[in-house]
Amino acid sequence: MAAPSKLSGGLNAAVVIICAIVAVVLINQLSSSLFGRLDLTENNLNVLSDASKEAVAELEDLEVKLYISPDLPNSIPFGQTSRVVQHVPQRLLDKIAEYKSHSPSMVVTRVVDDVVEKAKLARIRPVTGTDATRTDAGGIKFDEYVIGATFHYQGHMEVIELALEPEFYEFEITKRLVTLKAKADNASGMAVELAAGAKAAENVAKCKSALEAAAPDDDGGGGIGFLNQEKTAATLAAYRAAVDSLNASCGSLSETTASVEALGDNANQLKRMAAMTGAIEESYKAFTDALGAQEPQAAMAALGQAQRVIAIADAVDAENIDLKNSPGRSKIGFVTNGLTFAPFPNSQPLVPRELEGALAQKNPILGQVLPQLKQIDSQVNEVLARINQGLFRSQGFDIVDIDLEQPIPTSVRSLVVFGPKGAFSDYQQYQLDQFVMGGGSLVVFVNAWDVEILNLTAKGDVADPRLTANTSNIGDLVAHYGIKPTGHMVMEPKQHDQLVLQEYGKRGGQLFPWQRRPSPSPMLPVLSDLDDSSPLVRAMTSVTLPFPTSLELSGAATPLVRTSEAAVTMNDQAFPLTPREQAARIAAQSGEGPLALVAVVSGELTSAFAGREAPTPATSGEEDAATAQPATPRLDAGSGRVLVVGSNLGLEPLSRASILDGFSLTSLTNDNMEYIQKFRQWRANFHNWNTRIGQLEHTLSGNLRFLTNVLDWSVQRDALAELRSKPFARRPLDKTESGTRTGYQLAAIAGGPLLFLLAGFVWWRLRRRRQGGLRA
Amino acid sequence: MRIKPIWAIAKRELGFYFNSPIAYVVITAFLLLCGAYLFIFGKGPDGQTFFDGDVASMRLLFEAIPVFFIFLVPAISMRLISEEKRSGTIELLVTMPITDTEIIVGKFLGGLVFIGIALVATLPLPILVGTLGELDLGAVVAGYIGLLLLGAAYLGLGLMTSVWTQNQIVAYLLGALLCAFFYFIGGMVESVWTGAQDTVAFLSFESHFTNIARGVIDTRDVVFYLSMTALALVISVQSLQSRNWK
Repeated sequence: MAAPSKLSGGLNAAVVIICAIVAVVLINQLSSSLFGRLDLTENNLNVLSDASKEAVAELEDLEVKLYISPDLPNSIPFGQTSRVVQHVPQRLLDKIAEYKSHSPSMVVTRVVDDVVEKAKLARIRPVTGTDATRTDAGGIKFDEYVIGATFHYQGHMEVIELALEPEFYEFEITKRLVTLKAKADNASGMAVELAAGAKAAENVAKCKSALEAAAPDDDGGGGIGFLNQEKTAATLAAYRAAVDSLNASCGSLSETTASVEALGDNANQLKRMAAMTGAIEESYKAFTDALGAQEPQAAMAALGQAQRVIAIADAVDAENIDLKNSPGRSKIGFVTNGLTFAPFPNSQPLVPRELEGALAQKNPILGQVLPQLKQIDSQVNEVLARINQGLFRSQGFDIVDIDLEQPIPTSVRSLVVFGPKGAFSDYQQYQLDQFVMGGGSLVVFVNAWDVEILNLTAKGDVADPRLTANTSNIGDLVAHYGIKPTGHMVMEPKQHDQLVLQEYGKRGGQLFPWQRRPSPSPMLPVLSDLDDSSPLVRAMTSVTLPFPTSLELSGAATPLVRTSEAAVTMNDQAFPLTPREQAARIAAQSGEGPLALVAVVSGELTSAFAGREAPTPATSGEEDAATAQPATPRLDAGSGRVLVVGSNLGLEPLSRASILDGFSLTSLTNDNMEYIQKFRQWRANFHNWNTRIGQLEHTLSGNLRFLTNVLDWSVQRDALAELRSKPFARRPLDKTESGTRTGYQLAAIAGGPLLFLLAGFVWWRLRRRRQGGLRA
Repeated sequence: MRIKPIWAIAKRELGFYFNSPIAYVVITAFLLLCGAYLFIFGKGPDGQTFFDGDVASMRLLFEAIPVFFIFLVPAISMRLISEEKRSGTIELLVTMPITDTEIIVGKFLGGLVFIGIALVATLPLPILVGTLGELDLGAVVAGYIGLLLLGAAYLGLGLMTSVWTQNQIVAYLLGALLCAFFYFIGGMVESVWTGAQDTVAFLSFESHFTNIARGVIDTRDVVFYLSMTALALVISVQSLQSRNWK
């Protein structure tokens, strides 16, 4: 056969290569839409778990919108560092595609044009990059990037604001799908409240828009505008000219306030919205009054009031969003009786405003103390609000305060008794018991010991370290279900964390913070004996439980977290807290472990009040007693779930009552100056609360995952608890000495090559022998 | 395509490697590098070494071997055809009853077995890690599958450059350059035209390997590597046939 010419041969080759390229493209295209995944990891870490598949399959016609900046750089600034995001978009697309493969009706769209602006409207959080461009106005604008998603189902929406951590995609997405389902299921039951909230938010937004439209802030520099007299005069004139239209938009908020206030008992958000719209009304009235005044100072006050209305209007909008999200949240009740930790700010003012002036006038010293007292109260509220939002609401839990003297709302699916220090009455215990018998979940965090190290006295001196046993009787109740807190503090001689102690120096008779010193403490055991079969702790490596008490188990109760065999216990308030003495005492004891520190019991349980007469609530009169009987019929048995954690995770009770212990208006109005001494104590109380949190702060982040797992478990979202822990499945190395490590390093470097060369030598010998045989 | 001649060529190549010191020197150097990297100087994204990171995992090594392969695989492939061309034995080879496709596939198979042996020789490392902690065997198996697929794709590219030139050094440099290009192309995504970004990202050997190294065998990644390897082999065959053009 004749050889082809260069031209025909080249053409032929080009055609073949082009066809091959086309085939490769087509095959890859086809495989992108028809693909399968096989996760070879032991715990299927990289493919969707059954819970996620079920969650997405349940949502018919789910729509997912992806907002990913097309010009996302390889790394973006994140906090104080930067984060590599090179493969992050692909991982998000892959994960969404994996969900879609389990839900044929799911629609996925990717927003392409103006992605950052559209993402902001969808409440996705942009990340600011390092590159900047100069704006027309002469300013500098940093580049912004987004990577997030919104999920839409039956008119409800959930948002992943910033999807930078692929390891958590499954948890984050499934959590939103579960929430969407709950929203769709529960929204009809809250239709009236949701409509009232929406209406109130709409009316307030109308007022805000009218104020903004009446005097638009052209240069965007509000602060500077206030310093500019001409601009101030112009703004006031604009407001005066528009006063009729402003009255039309803002003048009728009293109806709005009344309508949301009427439903306030059904939803805390409406209660807060009512307070806010009331504040807007007040501010608006002050605004119109000041607007009519001629004095320049009064006119300035009008501008201030207008700004206040706008700021509160934003807060109302945020409350409305929170309300809209609430049907998707699982309601968890935090019991407020028994001196527990209950993260709810106190909405009542400490001292009624109308009394403040009178008190200060009557007693000038009180006039100086009151603002400081209010500051402590407001700081307490601020911390509580932050905990409420950061620990619970942002994690998708709707927590409500439960007074066990009142009937427990039926919407509450689980009750948490967090670190009680006080006693529960018979009736309060009965309420808890009947809740469990009715199928609810009860979670108890035991707070057996108060450990006070480097606390301050009322006089401002450093107090001696103190160990006090708490005396709550919650243990008596849970002991009926098979989990009895012994009250003995458990210590781990070897596996323990450290307290971070803030030490003080003294200068001129005044204490000042000097240094923070880590102090290893056996009272902070690090526990790694975790029950692998429980989603609560399955994927965790260890849990650190501060100042825990051991649990005695009986019946069907099973331990989830246990100590090592070397663990010891003590029940002595005089037990030393200084490290050296403590170590000596512990060394003299022999190991008592393994001891259970977290345990669970579920299934058919017998009531702690079976065969006993049902107690009645504390009442002020006989008539009340007759009407205050529990609404639900008495249950002597039932199937609920009880989880007991032998520690309060270091979260000491924080409330107005616990910090301002013994505060009353009457004591302030007395002339005996006793309140000054009390004030010093209250100030020390809040300082000491912060001190104790600071000593354990480093353990909180790890324990937060455990806490949220517990809460998910309590509202029967076990799957989420497991998914949350899935990315944390670590496989730690065995503890090795430095010499052993060197041995491993040598083995790694020399072992493989030596083995290979040995195999080569054997092969060479065999070959020689074979060749020798052939020669012979 | 017939298996017998293909296997004969593959065996001939393997024989060349293992009957001379080449294979032992190359693989020993590779093993020394792997052991030292995993246990001494390799650092993860958090800047921690194997012992500091305190995790029983082979990820650190699996993320490094693709880069080692950029230097190793072209060294295996560089002589596959170019040496035959330089010494003139290619003419002898084509007089045999064997097609160009069979030659290329045979050579490729020989190189692939060599890579497989090099990977098998690293097995003492996961065994060592397994004695230090509980190793996820599934992830290790997936990692090795990924490395073999990636090695095959690299080898295809190296073979292709070996067909293009008689000079082994040129073949090595071109091969290493091509492998590095396809591995690191993902990092260039942001600097290319928006419309081409998805394609560039898709062509990245690294992103496909990262998926597999996590322990997931995704058919898309497998298809990608196999199709890229096949494409390189098709181009190699066509390039080899060009010697017949007048």
